[in-house]
Amino acid sequence: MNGGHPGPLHSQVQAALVRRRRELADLLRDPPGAAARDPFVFPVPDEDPEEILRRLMVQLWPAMRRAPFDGTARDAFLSQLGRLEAAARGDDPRFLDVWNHAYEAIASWPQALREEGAARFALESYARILDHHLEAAQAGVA
Amino acid sequence: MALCDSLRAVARLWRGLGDLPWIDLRFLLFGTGPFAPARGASPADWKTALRLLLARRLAWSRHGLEHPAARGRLQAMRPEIGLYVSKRICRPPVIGCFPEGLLNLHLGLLPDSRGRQPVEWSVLEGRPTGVTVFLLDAGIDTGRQIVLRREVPIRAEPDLAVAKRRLAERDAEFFREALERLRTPGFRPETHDGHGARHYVMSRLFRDVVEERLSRASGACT
Repeated sequence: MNGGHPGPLHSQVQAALVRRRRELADLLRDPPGAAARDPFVFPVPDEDPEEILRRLMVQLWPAMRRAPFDGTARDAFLSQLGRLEAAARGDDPRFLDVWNHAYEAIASWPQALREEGAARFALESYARILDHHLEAAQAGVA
Repeated sequence: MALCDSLRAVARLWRGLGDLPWIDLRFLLFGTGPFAPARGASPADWKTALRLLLARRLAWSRHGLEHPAARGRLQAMRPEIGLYVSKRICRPPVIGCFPEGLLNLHLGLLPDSRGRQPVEWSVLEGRPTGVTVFLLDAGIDTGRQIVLRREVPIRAEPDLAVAKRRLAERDAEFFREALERLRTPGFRPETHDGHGARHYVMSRLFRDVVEERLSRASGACT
């Protein structure tokens, strides 16, 4: 993360990710009595992640923002987003940022929509991505 | 000739470039709707525009540049080199109206800072901030032909909006230097293959980090 530049900026990004992870934990908390589920892991894409990112940010994300309650636009965005889980764990913050956008959109949706399969899977993937970066930062400090 | 979508930009460029003796600076003001280009213009900007209008240096088209009427007006002015001051994407048919090229200012250092919100991404990624004047091509901020690249630190700016506005409002200064370079015998724009990561609109999370970073830096400067 942060283009390999350590220092104050790195710690600011890290602090922001910690805050975001806490918010996400609240959003992901299962209601009492909910059955445990296996985590859904999105498959690794066979397409250039750069092209997937371009499609997401130029076409699918604006379309979903314009019509958040249009199921087709939502599904199109979330299915492509899942293909960038591995890329979002890397050093390039642009790939993490598309997940930041997704979270910021999903968090504003009504609970019923947030609990729908694809949205829920996306939030769980985002949690794993944030955990990965925070663990890597911890390991770097230690 | 300069293509501007605001009266403020017309007045600013005239103040910064109007004294260049080797350029016959004329303007095409374009925009959607009759009042859009006048938004934010001061009385002094209006006065300058009126003077330019009377001197037949300013033409106005209420359409976007894609409209045949605007394009016709542009072709009738027979421009040579152009300056483009608008956030709207400029399409190849418009670029093609300028035999010597159409210069654009990008608020980031190309080719690394391609795409949207270059100031934000430069701060977040710990890269230097600055501007690039380049010759437009069909790509988006690919900047395959760079005329001027200048690092401009923004550490002392209180926030992102101010930093970006101040950078953008120095456009005449950067265009002037680029135009001077282009007429220097033997000068060739720096060419490259268009590499560099394309950036997109930044999330709220990262934008807040950038704002915090700037606010701390400007606090340290004062």
